[in-house]
Amino acid sequence: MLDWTALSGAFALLGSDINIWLVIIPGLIIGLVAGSIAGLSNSMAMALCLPLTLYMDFLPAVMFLTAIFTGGGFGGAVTSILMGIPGTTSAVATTFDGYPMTRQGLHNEAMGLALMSSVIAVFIGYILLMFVVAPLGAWVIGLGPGEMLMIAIWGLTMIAALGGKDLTRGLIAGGFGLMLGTVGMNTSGYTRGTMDIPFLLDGIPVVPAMMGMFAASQLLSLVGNQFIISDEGARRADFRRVFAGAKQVLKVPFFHLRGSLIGVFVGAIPGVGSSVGNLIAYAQAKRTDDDPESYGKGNPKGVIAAESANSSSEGGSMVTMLALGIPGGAGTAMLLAAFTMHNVTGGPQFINNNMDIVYTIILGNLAQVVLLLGVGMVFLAVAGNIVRVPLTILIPSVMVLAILGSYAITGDVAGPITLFVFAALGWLMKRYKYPVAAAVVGLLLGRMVETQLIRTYQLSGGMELQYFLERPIIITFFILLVLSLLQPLITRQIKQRWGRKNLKAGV
Amino acid sequence: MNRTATISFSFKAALASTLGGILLTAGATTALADYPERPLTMVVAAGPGGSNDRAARVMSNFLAEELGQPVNVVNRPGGGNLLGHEYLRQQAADGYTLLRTTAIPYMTINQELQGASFTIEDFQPLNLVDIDTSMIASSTRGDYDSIDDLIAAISDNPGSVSMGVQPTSSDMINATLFLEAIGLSVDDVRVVTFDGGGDVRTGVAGNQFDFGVVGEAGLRQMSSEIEPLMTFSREPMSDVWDAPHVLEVVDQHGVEDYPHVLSGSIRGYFVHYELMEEEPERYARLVEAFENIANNPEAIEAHHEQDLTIDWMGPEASREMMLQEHESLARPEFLQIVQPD
Repeated sequence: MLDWTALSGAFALLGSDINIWLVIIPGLIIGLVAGSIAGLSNSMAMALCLPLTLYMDFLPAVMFLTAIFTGGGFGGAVTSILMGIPGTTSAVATTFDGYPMTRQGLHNEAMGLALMSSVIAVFIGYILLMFVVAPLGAWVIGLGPGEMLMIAIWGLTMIAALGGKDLTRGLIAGGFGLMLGTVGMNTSGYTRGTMDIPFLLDGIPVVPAMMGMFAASQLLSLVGNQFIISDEGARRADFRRVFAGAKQVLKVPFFHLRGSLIGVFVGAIPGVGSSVGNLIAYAQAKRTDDDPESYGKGNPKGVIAAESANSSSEGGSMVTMLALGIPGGAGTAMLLAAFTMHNVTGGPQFINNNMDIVYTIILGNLAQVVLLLGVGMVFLAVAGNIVRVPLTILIPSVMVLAILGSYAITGDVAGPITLFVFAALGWLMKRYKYPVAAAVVGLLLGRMVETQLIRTYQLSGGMELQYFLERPIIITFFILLVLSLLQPLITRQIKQRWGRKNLKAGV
Repeated sequence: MNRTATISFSFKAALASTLGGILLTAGATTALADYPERPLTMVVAAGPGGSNDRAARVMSNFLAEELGQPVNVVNRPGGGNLLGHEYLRQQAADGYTLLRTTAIPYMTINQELQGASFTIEDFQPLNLVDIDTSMIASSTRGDYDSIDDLIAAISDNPGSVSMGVQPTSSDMINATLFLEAIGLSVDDVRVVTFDGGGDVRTGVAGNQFDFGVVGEAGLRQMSSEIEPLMTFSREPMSDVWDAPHVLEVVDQHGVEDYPHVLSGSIRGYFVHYELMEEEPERYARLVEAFENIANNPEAIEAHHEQDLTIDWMGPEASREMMLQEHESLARPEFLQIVQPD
């Protein structure tokens, strides 16, 4: 599967230009900063830096942008963990356990966990990419609406995972989110729920809405506090504790690997991306754990699952971009634009003729990951101080950044308006004990579920069974979905039958 | 005394007005020489990665060279390009905001079916660069090697063959007219709707449905993955695609007068119509820059490498063509095809 001539060519290319290496650290820092500011996404940072790459050669340009991509992928975890407000859609699940850890004074450990999980996951993602880029690219674009629908539903199981004890409220909130997600013009041209407001034609702007809901609900829970962490001694940024958190990841290699593999696979499918992978991996981890109740209350494994999947999806998202010239999301579209600016044409011919460049990009990214570990540590030492800021200063600062960020996303006042409307909604939901996160998951997935359901309906001639029987991948996905939902039940049955002693002996 | 005073007054007035005039003219000249004195924005009424976006990004580099100011590309996708079009209309007509979009069919559909606040006349094309042609194509891994195979399969088993298409597009109208001309109907195929041409092309390459109807230009880069079946052109396109054109095929089916071969998407660069009248110098400056780029060998090569076109048609011919195609599309019987209700 490896083309050795191209691989040695790649090493030669990497050694040919010192600029390839010089741009990595600035890129990582830009990505980290952009990712950790609520509302600034890594694709936005890439778009802003795109003109700079005009003055670079092709490889340094690509390396610079992928460094932003990598840094931004991790940066999103910082606000999720420290403030419970995800800066990007791909860090939603990171808040569920990361933020409770911070409230308990374990923010150093949580950030160490997130950094190490991300670093290893990006590494795994690119290693896989190196072996399977061409065949995987051809395979994922063959995934039609039916297959995509199964993946979207898999993501929806997250809603049940979020309900906790009060499942009814979780389902109501999730259903409400799904309905909000269908506002706008759908894939067959019908327009619903836009109330004649033009910007809603393209749907509710997800990031401002998400920030508004999370911010309102988190701020409400801080009423009466002066700091995010009440114990003064625990607020210090402590390198040793970051390391301790990082080491914890190494103790659960297979658990981490599962999250990474989910991320690569889901990230590889055009138009799906890291936000869905992040949710699926978290839901899967919670469902299959011996103690699902501990999730959402500061379980380190929740952080590992969420961060491994959203980071490894970077490698996944490069698959169709490199193999076929089809960008799966905004980040890879920016990379493709950089290709264009340097007169390099993406597409099937690119990978056939330039395997050495593909390997160079992959190897360069592997090196970036190692650097991310170092840059990330320093960055965390600075960012960790956020918890030492009194809430009377922190909350207004976060609000200002969120308003600016939401303005930047939509480019007009629609973003801030959405932010405020959803903040009010989030406050109401929190007030009456509906899980805000379930509504956000619904909002994130509503459009995808509806679009794929419509197309599956159309393609199968109105849900004729024969269509599904001819599609082994849909059937496989369906069986996997059912199995993953039933797994807790099955394991419980097995445990009961075998008795506790047998199980303990087995372990 | 009085008289002298009057004379001297009018002399002063004349002097002042002359001076003022000189100053004004000088001011105007500097203003002209100064345009553009800040970065320009190129609005793309579609998401990143599509042909409008790619072209705008190539073009913005050359435009920045011509105008001596950076040109920022901003994506405003959504609502069948309606949001991007409305966005341009909300900006000042000062020549600092340009638009790259697919004018036909979207401006027509925006205006006729979506209640847009503008009409197509409100946009002035600087140059229409890309007149796409709809094409029927399938995957090389698919079941159909020729248009005859496909037609036979649809007539033998109505309702079993699937067609990927963007529902509000010229492609949809062309496909519907063609099927009706050969005695079939769009109800005989399973119409699978996609949000943009890019999605349809990915679906064709991935064999997600039996055939797709989509603009041919974007398919050229993936020509190794797809099987061309028929082009919706008035003449053969045998230099590019090894497939018959629509008039040839309907002729074989004994159709005498085929209603209309609609051109596929028409893309180009636009400014506010008001710019032409209110700021003629700035408008002229932009036209000049676009013409220079269209004749710049380096720019031509950069476009061709991506299968993008940049031929110079000029604003007058572009406007004429835009309005003409708008009129042929805006017939009720065509619009009915792309109206969801």
